[in-house]
Amino acid sequence: MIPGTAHPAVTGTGTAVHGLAGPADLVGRGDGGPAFDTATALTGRDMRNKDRGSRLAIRAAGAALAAAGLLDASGRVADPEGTAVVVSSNFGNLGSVVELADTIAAETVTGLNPLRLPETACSVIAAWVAIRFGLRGPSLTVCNGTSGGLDALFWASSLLATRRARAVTVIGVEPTNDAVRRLLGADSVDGAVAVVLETAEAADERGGPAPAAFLTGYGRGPDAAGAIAATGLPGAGGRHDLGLWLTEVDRPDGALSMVRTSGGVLGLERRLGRCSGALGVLQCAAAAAHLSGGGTGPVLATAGGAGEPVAAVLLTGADATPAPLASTEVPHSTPHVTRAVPTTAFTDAENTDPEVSVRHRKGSRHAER
Amino acid sequence: MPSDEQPSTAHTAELHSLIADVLELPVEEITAESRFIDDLEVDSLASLQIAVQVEKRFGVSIGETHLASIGSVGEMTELVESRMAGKSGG
Repeated sequence: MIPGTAHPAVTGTGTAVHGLAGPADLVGRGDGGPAFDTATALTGRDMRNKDRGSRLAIRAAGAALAAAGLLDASGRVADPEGTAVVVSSNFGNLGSVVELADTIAAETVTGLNPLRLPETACSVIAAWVAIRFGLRGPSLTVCNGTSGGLDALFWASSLLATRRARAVTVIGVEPTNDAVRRLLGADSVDGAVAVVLETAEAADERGGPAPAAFLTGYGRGPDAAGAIAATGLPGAGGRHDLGLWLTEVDRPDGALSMVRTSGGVLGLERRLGRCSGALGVLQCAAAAAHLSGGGTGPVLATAGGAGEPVAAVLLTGADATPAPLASTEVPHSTPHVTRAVPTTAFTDAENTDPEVSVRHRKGSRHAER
Repeated sequence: MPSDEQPSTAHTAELHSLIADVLELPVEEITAESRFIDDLEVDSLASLQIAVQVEKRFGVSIGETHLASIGSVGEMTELVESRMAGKSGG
């Protein structure tokens, strides 16, 4: 994914989406286990004073970290300094901000509960996840429209490539509430998903699980065609061979002629409603479930379009992972940079500021005060 | 810890409900014997939240120093009852 570095491996996935038992349900490979129930799963002592987005994110992250074998007996990560968190969410704290603004309008600031003020920062979700699981590595929040989830996977890969972290928990979360419904005017997902990325070597060294999938390409552009081409997807005669194409809805505009898919096109939003910033991470978890369940690769995930930039991520199974690309240029090592650095594997094809809003906070010390 | 004990005073049930709401626990877990720290895992911020809600609901102000000395739900109930009795008595 990043030239000259090992491709990031997916070593753990987890979902907290009402009605889903786990990531395998996203691709119809579930084993019929108990489904996540937001009515019962988001309560309890560890959920106090947290907004809904943070609660969902904590549940998904806990499942992914446990699946990756990164939690110790106390339920916290065994390698705090080496574990980062990247959150993608566009409406994560919208409901809280609207609610607090309404309270101020009705009662003045004397009506506010000071314990809820952290909810007004969009980075609150990453902060709560860091505090809950003891993560002391970099903490990023990406608010970048529909492509945000796939963009978050890229930034997580950058943290691994630049050795800012040994493992990254990437979370996509979008809670639903009246404010979100009013804004979107449509049904939207009420849930979170998390994937753990690390190098296969690091996972092997610590005795972690075998990777479910590898992220081998990322592209970004004004349309799907440009973004897909930039992933380095192999193919011939202008057409690319895919095992599965994960999209927003079943038929993405403009790029269908570029691919042949043996596994078809799967639009997650057709089932879940608008997924917004959670979409790309949901697609990654779905791809990992598809590939680890014996599905054919590679898997392409695309998100964006309809006036928004498009991002694409290519994933392969453990048996078909290409060697890392030759190093041409390592992306900037500081994650707060808001502009992507074009490389052969990561291409900002639109040549304009990608409106990536990445907030960088060193460790979780500040939030723990 | 569920209990068969019934609310013993006029405001016990209401106070238990208030504490359950603040702590996001089932009201059945709130008993007179519940220890704020050991049983309900209440920290200083949560105890302050309870005090604020008690003042809003019952008009009883609990000072920070006094708050720290209250160990159980039953002790808080007694305090609220006595303060309210004092107010109504004149």
